[in-house]
Amino acid sequence: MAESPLSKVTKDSLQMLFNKNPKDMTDGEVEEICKKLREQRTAFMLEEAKPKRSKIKADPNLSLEDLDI
Amino acid sequence: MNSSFSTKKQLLQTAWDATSIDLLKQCPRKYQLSMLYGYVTNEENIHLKFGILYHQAIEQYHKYRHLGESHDAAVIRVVHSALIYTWNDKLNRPWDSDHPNKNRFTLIRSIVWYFEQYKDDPVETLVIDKSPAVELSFSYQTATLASTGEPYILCGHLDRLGSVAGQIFGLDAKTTKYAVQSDDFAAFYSPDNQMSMYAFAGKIIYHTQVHGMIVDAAQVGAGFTRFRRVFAPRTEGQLLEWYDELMQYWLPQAEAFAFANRWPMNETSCGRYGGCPFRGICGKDPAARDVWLKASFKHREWDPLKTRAA
Repeated sequence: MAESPLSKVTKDSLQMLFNKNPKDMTDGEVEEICKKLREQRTAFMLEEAKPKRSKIKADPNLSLEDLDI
Repeated sequence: MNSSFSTKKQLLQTAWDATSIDLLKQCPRKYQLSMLYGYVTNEENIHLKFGILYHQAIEQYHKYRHLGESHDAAVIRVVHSALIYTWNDKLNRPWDSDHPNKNRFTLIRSIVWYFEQYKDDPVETLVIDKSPAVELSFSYQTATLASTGEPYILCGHLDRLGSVAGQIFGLDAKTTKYAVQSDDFAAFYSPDNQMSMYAFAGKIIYHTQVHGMIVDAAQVGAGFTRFRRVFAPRTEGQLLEWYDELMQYWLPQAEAFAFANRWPMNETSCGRYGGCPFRGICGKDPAARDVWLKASFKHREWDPLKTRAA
């Protein structure tokens, strides 16, 4: 599955922190990573909660005569 | 030397974990190539590293919580540790996985999301000998002997023992590419060799009334991690059946393979479990296989008696 635009935005915004040697990171910087990822999760959960369009399946017993055309 | 093998008969495995039993049951040839010869694809290596780091984070979290750390403080600590574990000190740069779903970013995201998902987990971690019952390495010497006179050992690592609604369950965290929300996902774990083994370990080795396993599955995608908790109950009768069949039929069968030094293919397994990585090898003429194996696979020794390390 392709990466969503939201995921890319989160990744891009954290790029600098992810490229920093973690041994030099402060708790605040780690917390910043956690915060951004939690925000991404909230957005993902909201997206998941939206009703999905269900696929319309054809009735296997339907014939051309049944169609009112 | 791999300590899980007989000292008297080459190729005879005496210490068995769920991974090696799974391989044997899937296909003896797959077991031979993977377990005995240690061939592994680069992708399998990435999955293994990712899984170990994910497990380590969960284990550490529960230890910090047991020591009195708050949820938020424990999460910061384990995320910091995971960032350090995935930093390549020699090259002074992050772990470079070329896998779209299993990489440093998806690992850290999955860890943070996991702890959000289970922030108010109704499952309480048991405390055994004043320590939280997490990442329990077990090694159980059975009463069954191989023909060399060496006892068979069952071993492995149980992620966690916890109680929910007054019942005790073993817990296992899994990362997968499969859609965890599919209707049939829960059925994957009953029956399931690994879950039966872990439930057996919880019951016999830790002397607890384990009612089965809880699988915390995480579907790791490039842009999301989706979670699902699956209950896999096991009765005493089911566990005895699993154990008896292993001891009376599967391990003697493995011994027969070892003495004959023949590991037959189970062609009906080739397309299962996401497709066997050795399918392309087994599909070639026997004389050509060695060259292809050496060219396409890396080597890794899997010793079930050794503790996990990323």
